[in-house]
Amino acid sequence: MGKVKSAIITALLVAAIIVLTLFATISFGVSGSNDAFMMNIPLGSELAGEASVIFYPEGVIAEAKYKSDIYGNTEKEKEYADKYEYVESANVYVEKDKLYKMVDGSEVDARDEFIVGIKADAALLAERFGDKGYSSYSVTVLNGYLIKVSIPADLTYVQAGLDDATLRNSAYAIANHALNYISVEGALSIRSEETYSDTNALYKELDLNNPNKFNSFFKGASVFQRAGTYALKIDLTDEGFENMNKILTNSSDGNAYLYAGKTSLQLSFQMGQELQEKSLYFQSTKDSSEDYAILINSIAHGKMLTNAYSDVDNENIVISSSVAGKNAAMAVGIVILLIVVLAAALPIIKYKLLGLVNALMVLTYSVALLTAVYLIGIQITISGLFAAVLGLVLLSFSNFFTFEAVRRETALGRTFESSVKIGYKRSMLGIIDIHVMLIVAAIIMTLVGVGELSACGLIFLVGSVASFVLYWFTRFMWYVMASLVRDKFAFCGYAREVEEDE
Amino acid sequence: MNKLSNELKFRILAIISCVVIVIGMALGTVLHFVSNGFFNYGGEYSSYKSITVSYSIVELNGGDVDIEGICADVLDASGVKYYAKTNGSSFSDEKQIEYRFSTSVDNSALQTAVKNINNKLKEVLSKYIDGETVKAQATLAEQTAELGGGYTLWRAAVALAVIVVAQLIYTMIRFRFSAAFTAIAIDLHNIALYAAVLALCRVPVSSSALVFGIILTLVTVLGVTFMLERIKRNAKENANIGVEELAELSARQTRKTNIAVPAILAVTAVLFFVATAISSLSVIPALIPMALAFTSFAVAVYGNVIVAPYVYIFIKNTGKKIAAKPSKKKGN
Repeated sequence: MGKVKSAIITALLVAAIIVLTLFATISFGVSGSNDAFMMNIPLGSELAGEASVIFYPEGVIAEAKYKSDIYGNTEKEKEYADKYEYVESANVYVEKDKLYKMVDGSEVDARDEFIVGIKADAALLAERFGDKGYSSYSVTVLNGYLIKVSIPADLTYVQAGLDDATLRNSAYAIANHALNYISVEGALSIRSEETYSDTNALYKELDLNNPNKFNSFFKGASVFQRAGTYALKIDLTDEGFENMNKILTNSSDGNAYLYAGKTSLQLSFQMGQELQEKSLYFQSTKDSSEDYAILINSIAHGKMLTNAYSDVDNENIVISSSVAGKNAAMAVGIVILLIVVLAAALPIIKYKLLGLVNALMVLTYSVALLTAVYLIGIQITISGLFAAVLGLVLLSFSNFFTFEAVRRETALGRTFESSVKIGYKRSMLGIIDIHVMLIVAAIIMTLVGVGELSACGLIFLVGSVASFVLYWFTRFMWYVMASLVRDKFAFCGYAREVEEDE
Repeated sequence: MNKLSNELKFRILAIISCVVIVIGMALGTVLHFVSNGFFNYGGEYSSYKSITVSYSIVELNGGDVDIEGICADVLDASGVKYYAKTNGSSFSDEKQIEYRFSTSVDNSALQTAVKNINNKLKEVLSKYIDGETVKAQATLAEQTAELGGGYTLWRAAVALAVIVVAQLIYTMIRFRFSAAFTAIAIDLHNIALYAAVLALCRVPVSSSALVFGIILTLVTVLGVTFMLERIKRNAKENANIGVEELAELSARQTRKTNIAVPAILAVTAVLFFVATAISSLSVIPALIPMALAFTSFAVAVYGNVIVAPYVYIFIKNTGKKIAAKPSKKKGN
C-alpha cells in the first residue's frame, strides 16, 4: 500500500474516532442540542441512587399526619383519640382494632399478630420486586410497623447531578408505577366499572364459593414483545377461559375491567365479545407490562398480602443519592477513563508504533461500546462496567497473543509479511474458539438471565463481538500503518535475530 | 510439590477443594437454620439502623443553614459512627438525609443523638424563622431486610447450566471428550468453590455476588478454552508427547494469561473501590463488592491455573484406563 493511501486511511480513522468521542463525551451549549450521549445513559443505584417509598399498612398513620389531621379540630381530635393508639417505638399511630382483638369477650393484645403479618407482607414484596430483575433493590421492615421499598431510580448522569424534580419526571413515573402496582393487595376480580365499588363485581355472577377461586382461573402472565412493541400476555386456565366467556357474554353493553383488590389494573374487556384464545394480550409499555405480570403471577399462585397499604404518589417517593456518594458516577467514570488510557498507552512501550495500532482499537472499542449501550438503553452498573472491562481485556489479549505469535515467527528469520501471515494463522483458531465460546455465553446470559445479569450479558456480548471484529481490523490497520514506515520490524518493536535475505 | 507425582498432586488439590466446598456448604446450611442465612447477607440485603433527618428548604431571614454539617457535628459529638449516608429529595423538594448504622450500635446512643440533632436544629433554625414551626426533624428507625430475588437466582442458575452445557457441546466438537469433561469439571469446581468460600469466610453477599459469579464463569470459560486450545495445538505439533508433559507445557504457556485476566479485573476492582471510597468518604460501602470481586478472581486463578491441568491429566488417564480394561480382559 502506498504511503499516501495509508496516511489518508489512518487520518480518516483517527478523525472518525475523535468526532465520535467528542459527540459521546462533550455537550455543546447550543440551544436545542442534546447532551453528550454518555450523559444520557441510565445508571444503576450504586452510581446514581435509588427511589424509595414507605408503605403504611391500612390503620397505621404517621405521627406528623395524625397531628396535622387533628390540628384545630377538636371533634377530630376526640375521634382520633378513641380510634388510634400511639406506638412510640415506631413513631406511628395505629388503629386500636389492629392492636387488640376480642377473644371470648375479653380484649387481648394482637400487635404481635399484626407485626407478623407486616413481616410476611415484606417477604412477599421482596419476592415480587425480586421478580422485576432490578440491578439492586431492598425491602425492609421499618420499626416493625412500616415497609420501606427501595428500587433503582434509573437516573442518567445529568438527572443524578441536578437535584431537580422536573428533570426526574420520567424516573418518578416509572418508579411510581412499579411501587404502586407491585404492592397491590387483594384478589383478582372482574368488574363492570372503572371505579371500584362493592357492588360492581361481575365474577359474583358465577356463584363462586370462595372469591379467591377467581384467582385460579389465571395460569400466569408474562411480557410479550414483538418488533419493539410490548404487551402483557395473560394465560387463562381451561376453567378460566370458560368462566370468563360466561361473564363477558352475559351482557352486550360496555366494558369489563380487571382488578387486583380495589385497584383497577387498567386492563379492559369488551362485553358481549367472546374470547377466542386462552391467551389475552394487552398492549402496554415494557415496565407497566412487567409490573402487571409480576402482580398477576403472584396472586394467581395464591400469594396475597395480608394488609392493604397506602397508595404511592410522586410526593412520597424519595430519590436518594447512592451510598457511594453523590459523585460516585463521576469517580467511577474517571476510573474507566484511566483503564482505557492505560490499555491504550502501556502496549506502546513494548510494541512501539504497533502499540499505537492497538491503542486505536482500544479507543474504537470504548466508543463503540459506549454508543451501543446508549442506543440500546442498557442501565450501567459497576458489574456492567466489569463486563465492559472484561471485553477490553479480551480484545487486548487477542491482539497481544497474535503480536507474540508474529514475534516468534520473525525470530525464525521470516520476512515481515510472512511472519504476520503465519502469526495470524497460528493464533487464529485459538482466538476464534475463545470468542465463539464467550459470545455464546454472553448470548445465554442475555436471553436467560434477568435484570442486572441480562444487562451484563448484553454489555459483554457487544464487547466480545466488538473485540472479534476489532481483532481483524487490527490486522488491516497494522498493514495500513506499517506501510508508512520503512523498517517494519522497528515499527512493531521486534528485534530481528536473523538478517533478511535481499 | 514438584517431586510429587501428578496423580498425587491431583488428589491433594481435589481434597483441598472438596474440603473447602464441603465445609462451606455444611456451615452455610447450618447457619441457614440457626442464624442469619446460608451466606452473610450484606449490602442491600443487610438490616441496619438509621437516623433520617427530613427538612424543607425554607426562606431564611438572612442566613444559610448547613443542616448536613450540623447533623454531622452532633453525630460526632454523640459518639455514634455511621457507615453510609444518602441524600434524598421528594417530588415536592422535601429533603432527607439518611445515616445508616450497624445493628450493633446501641439504641440509647442513637436516641440521644436524635434528640441532640432535633434540639440543635430547633435552636439554629429558630434564629431565622420567627414564629414558625421548625421544619426539620430527625427520626430513628430499625430496618430489617427481607430477602428476595429467588426468580433472578433461578434464572441465573438456568443461565449457568446452559452455559456449561454449551461449553460441553462446543469443546466436544472442537476438541475431545476428555477436554469437554475437563471444561465442565473446572466450571463446576470454580462455581461451587466460589459459593463455598463466600459461605465459609462469611464474605458479605450483596446482589453483586451473582454477577461476579457469572463473571467468574466467563473468566473460567476463557481460561479453560485457551488451555485446551494450547493442548490441542501442542499435541498436533508434538505427536509423541505424553499426557502429563502436554498438560504441563500447555499450562505453562497459558499461565501468564490465566493470571493476568483475573489480575486486571482485580486491579479494576481496587480502582473502583478507591473511587467509591473517595466519593462516599467511607470505605465501607465499597468493601462488599471488592471482597466479592477478589473472592471470584482468586477462585478463577486457583481453578484455571493450578487445578485445571491436573484435572485434564486425571480425566485423560482415567479415560485410558477405562479404554484399556476390556482389552486386558480379552488378553486374559
